[in-house]
Amino acid sequence: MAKYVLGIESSCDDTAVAVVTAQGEVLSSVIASQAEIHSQYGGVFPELAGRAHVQSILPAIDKALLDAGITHEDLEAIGVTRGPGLIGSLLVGLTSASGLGLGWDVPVIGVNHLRGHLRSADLEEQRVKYPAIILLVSGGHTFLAHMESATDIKLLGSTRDDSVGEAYDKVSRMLGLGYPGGPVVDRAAKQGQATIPFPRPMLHKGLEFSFSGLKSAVSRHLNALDEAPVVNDVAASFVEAAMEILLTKCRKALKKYPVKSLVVVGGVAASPQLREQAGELCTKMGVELCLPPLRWSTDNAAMIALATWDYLRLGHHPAPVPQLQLSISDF
Amino acid sequence: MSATEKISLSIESSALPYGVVLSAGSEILFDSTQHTELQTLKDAPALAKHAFKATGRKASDLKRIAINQGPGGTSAIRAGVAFANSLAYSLGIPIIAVNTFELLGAPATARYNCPTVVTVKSIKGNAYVGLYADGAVQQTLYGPMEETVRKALGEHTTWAVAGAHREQLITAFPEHTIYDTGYKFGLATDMVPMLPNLGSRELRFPQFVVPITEQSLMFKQGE
Repeated sequence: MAKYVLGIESSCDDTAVAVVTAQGEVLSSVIASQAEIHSQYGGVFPELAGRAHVQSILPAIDKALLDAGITHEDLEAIGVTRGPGLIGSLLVGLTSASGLGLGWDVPVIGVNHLRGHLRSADLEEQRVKYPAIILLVSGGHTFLAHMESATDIKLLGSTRDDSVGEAYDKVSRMLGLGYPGGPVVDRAAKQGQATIPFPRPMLHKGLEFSFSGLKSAVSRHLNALDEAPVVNDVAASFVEAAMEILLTKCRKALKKYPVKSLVVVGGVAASPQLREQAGELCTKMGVELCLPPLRWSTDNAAMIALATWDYLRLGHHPAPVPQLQLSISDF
Repeated sequence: MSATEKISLSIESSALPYGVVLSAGSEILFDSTQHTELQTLKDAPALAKHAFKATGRKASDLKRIAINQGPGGTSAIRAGVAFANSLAYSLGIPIIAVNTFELLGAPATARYNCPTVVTVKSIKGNAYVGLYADGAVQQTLYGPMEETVRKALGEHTTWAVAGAHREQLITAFPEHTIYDTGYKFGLATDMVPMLPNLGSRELRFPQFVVPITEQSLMFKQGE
């Protein structure tokens, strides 16, 4: 009896494939990272990302099925990210999924990548207590949403410009710390003192975010220096500002919407500073902090597979064609 | 031909209109370029579904897949190759890579009985250049267009030209005898007569097709 979903994620620079049950049990999760390819550019190089996906995707699919110990006959459906993301990268995952679906006669569902991130906290075990406020912080996205349930989602506010992860990557490049920027900037920040008063754009304006001004302020500060910067202090000052913005918005959302938990997902959820300060906030506010394991915080296919089960339950079957602009409220 | 006879799927996604062809032996069962409503559909999986529906065949009837690996429109080729690779993998059948140089060069050389230069546009005035002669691609190079064509031609002074720079090349080589083939893009139907001779190039997973890029040609030049 078919009871598994094969998830495929190729929206950016990781080729990921996973096999997941309807309950969120992860039978296999394969991620072919391109971080080494893009590290010399200080960010994702879209053309190279597309090329690498073509080389990685079939071996990743094969390994995911082998690791899970299943065959295509055990599949209920294939779920594949249809957007948002880089068009060249998305197309490789989408057309690969279409080929498998045609050959195996298995339905293929185009999944909203953002829905995948929201569901990542429930992989392996049901952690999220609803209703919940969810903060998605990654290289591509920064937003707050209210989740009445796993599928009833309302956007509260998102970034007007850069995502916080993008700001991390750019500051890391300015400081010569490499790519991806999150872990290295956080590590440097731990060694430094937040001595520079960088701005906190839009801090008191609703639940929307802005990180472009913060990133530019770091750039201006570095350009104005006559001597080499104290890298750790610049990193600490940037991280302090970024955390204050994120946590202030979370506090506002928690005050406005009575919920049981705060869920923090996305690549920047790996930040030790964010995890620590979110914990303190939740203790003060009397809500439960829900942090998925780090392996599910960054882009992965298990979250896409779990979201696919939601689509199946609700009877939503979007076609596996690219859709670059998708909101969190879209299926 | 019986309804259960195994068939071939040939895909050309390097330029519009995409060509998706089903064939049995030398017989063309379906050619997407002959259907007006499919001319602008930039979706190889959707075209393949049309082909199966129109012919009453199933994907499981396929015995092999042929795909143009480029060079050409990079994103489109990549999407076509990814689809073809995964379809071949899912069915456990072989896949054959055909390149743009032979796809344009083979019919041109047969028609004009001389070597054919095939060029494909790239960025910054560069071009992919292939020389097809004697039933095979003899040279594949990447670089500034005219200079690279001159290098590929060697001693040849009578040749046919196909691809993106036909008029430009006829003007640039006034001392040569050049036949303008009029071929700008490859056709999936031109893969069909090639298939019987490409058995040695069949790939089965863990081998699969990778698109040709300027990097792969530059690397080849440096070997």
